[in-house]
Amino acid sequence: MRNSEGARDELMVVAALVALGIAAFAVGGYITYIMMYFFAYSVFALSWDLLYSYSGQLSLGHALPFGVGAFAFALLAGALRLNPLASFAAASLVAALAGGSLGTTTLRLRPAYQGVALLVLSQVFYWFTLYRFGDEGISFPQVLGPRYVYATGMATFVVASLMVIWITNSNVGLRLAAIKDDNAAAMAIGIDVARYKILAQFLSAFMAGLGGSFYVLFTMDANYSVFSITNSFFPIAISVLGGMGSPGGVLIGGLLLTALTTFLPAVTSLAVTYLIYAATVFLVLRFYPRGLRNLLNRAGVKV
Amino acid sequence: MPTAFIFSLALSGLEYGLILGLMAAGLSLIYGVMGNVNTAHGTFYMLGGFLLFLFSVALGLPVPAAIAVAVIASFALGMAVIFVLPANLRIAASADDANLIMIAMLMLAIAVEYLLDMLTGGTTLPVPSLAVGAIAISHVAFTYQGIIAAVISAAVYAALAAFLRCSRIGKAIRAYAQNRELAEALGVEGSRVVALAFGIGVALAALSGVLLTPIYGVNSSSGWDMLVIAFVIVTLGGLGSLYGSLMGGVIYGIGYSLLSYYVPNYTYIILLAAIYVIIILKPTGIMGEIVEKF
Amino acid sequence: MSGSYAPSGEQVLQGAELAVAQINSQGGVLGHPLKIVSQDEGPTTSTAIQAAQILVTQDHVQFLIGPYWSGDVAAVMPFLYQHKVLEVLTVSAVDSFMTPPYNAYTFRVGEDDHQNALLGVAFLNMTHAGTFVYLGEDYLWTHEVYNFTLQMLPQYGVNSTLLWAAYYPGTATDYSSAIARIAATHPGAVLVYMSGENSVDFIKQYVSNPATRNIPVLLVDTPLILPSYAQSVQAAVPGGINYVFIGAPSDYVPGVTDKFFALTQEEYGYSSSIFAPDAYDAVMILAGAIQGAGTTNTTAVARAMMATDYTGPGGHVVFTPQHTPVVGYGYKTGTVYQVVIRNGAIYDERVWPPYVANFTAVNPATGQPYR
Repeated sequence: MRNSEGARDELMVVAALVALGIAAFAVGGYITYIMMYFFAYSVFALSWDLLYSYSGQLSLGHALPFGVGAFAFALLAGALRLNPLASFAAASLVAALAGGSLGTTTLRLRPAYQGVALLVLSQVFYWFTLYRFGDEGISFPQVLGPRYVYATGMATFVVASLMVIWITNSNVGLRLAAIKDDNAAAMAIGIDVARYKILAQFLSAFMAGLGGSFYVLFTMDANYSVFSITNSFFPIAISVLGGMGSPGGVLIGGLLLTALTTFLPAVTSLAVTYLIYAATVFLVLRFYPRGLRNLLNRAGVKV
Repeated sequence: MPTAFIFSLALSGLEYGLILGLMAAGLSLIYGVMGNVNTAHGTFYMLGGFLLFLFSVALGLPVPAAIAVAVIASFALGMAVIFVLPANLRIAASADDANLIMIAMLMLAIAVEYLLDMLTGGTTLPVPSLAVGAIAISHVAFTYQGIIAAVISAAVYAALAAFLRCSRIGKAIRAYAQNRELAEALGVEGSRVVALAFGIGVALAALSGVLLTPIYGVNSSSGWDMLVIAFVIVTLGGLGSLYGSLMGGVIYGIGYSLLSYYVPNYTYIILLAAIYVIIILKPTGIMGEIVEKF
Repeated sequence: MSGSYAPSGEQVLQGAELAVAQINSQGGVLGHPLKIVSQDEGPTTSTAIQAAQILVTQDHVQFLIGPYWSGDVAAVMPFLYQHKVLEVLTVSAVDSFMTPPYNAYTFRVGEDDHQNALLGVAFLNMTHAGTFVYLGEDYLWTHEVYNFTLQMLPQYGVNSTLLWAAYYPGTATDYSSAIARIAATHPGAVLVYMSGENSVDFIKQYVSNPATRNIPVLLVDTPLILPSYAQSVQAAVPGGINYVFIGAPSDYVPGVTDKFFALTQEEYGYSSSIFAPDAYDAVMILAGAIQGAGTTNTTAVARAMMATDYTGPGGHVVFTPQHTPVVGYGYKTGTVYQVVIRNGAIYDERVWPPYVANFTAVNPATGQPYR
């Protein structure tokens, strides 16, 4: 299982990424945007992995809480012009509530069905927001200076990463992992499976909401495409690539995939970008099915 | 007059749903055997349409021949995909493996989508039909292509059912889907069954594609819409049940046709919300023949 | 510039390229050659925002020919305004964008929604349709055009009643229910506002239904004006493409437009286009304003833009205080074409405005000219 050495290496990864974030800010230009996409998507991926690897619940529609956070923030800070940081917190709570409660309705389903149910639900939000807010969604003038936006992103990233690392190394983490491995056995040793699963749903939705809110904070636009299927699958791709169950791995996976999809469009066409992205993930999975974490482990970084 | 019109609309939906059900049956078959949801299923629908265009318009084959070649090529491609995967990934031994395969297939789907995008320049391809022209029944147009497609679909269903029930390979597939260990103990070779089932499954999706894309066109983003529709139908009819896919397809088609006439803006919202409720209340669907995995 | 709107987007780029070539051959702007940096806005507003971020923060672009999609225009506006990028819109038509504070740095050269609506009104007048149906892809601009159409009908003295209106998702490909409804309600004419390949899908299904194919239909902003699309419809439904009407919010200026289309024919293989002329004009106008301001400072250039009085292949452009083009005879109107097949070849024949019409519109139901 986990031990303090594992936690230490994971914290090292977080520290390294923070350093990268600071360096990027110093350089300025487009790379700050690449980092901001990374902040949003890594938090999103961590939230999905938390739900799956630590409570055994599969969501194929995790764009739902991400998107709810996104639209909630756009409405509160953008349309209603409320205090941006308060809106940020509130939007994430709204996402937690919506994602958590809707996710809980699927608690008793087998993972495959649970996954499909949440996928279908995310599509309901997709069509609804398209109808209600149109193609352009909600766009609004900047609510926070660029420096503060970046700082918020960094802070969100750090808080979410620490949260996940703490959970996975704590008793809560142990219990969740036990649930994932074997429901019946977990119940036999006295773990209230339902309660922990519900907790995981709300926590995961909250974190996804953080990701979504930040995404809209720096893009200044919330639109229906945030609920797309490809957006739901992105955190899964990151987690699978980085190594499911390993926060450090997920973060590295997130950096790689975010960098690919944000940097490549600047130098080549969208079609080539996605071809390279798909080929990269496919090849890594082919040769490192357990993810990049194996590579990291071999290099001595235990994540 | 209005009743005849509504009936016509429903009939048109039935025709549409029958063809879509084929694609869903393919998804169901794959799930039953591999225990894995094929995230690239919609891609094969798209591929069917694209290959038909390629063989007929670009290479000059007559349309019926091009259809046959397109479907066979999709079958072969499907089997090739399975053999490209490492042996331990061909069959999902655990939920983690299922996720892995799902993402791998997803990457394949994305790659194909953008490859097609590059080849076609993003335009919608005008796929040639088997027959040109239409008749109007109570103001609703029924294209000859659509009618022929529905008839072909019904025939393929019957053939598929017969194949699975009566042929040696078909029985092996069913046995494997129901009890893997027992089947393997009796000499059924896992990898071969998986490859065959996947090949047949995606060939069905491709067949749906060759039948429907002449009416609706095909472009590089057709795959995702079709994937969701396939999910919806399979949910209605039950994952793993072929008869369920047929029924599910018909119900979907009629529902879609009527809803898109009366409430075009809410069509998908209503359909998808209904599916969600069905999954929550009765996950095995309307005629769930449960071939559960994880 | 990818996806089902790609061919139209390509035309915008090509129009701009022709203008840039012209300007550079005459010495450039303020002594420097002009260069185009382009970025694909992609299939969603998210990719469009990313494209804008790349252009502005990576390529340091200060002058932008705006996104194609009205949705994308709205989505990238806060970002562009934040960076004071001067944006010229040649396609996305929504009037409601052109309000303070954003329109300080935004100008529209062509394809104003008033033009789009005017095309529909002119068509209803030409066909003497007592009733009509309005169909649109479900985006901002079509709703705005709908409102403008209803306002402009009495203004132009056209007596036509709306039977019903419906909007369809931009990605829809199945219009059978809409077409069935048209067949059931039998309007005098049908107005269709779909600007991508969805209009081609629609028209294929429309002309294959025997109950609807004789009702005059106007497609506005459609790529059907390009020969390849018309041919695909003809191949799918032989004879069906005859008597389909196309509305282009791009003007025809005798002599000037012809010369431009001769150029596009030579370079790119087409001699009709809705989007290329306006893009060409946009670049010319922008270059003129930069030259006039004597600097590339966007605030100064924005001020210089207001002095624009320019006539190009897309029409005569003068800006209103809202930074939109003046719409009306002598300024910007648009053109209606009828698609006809003569001796096996497909032609887009101009049927409106009357002073530029070179062909008499023929009623599809009777085969005779309208009145």
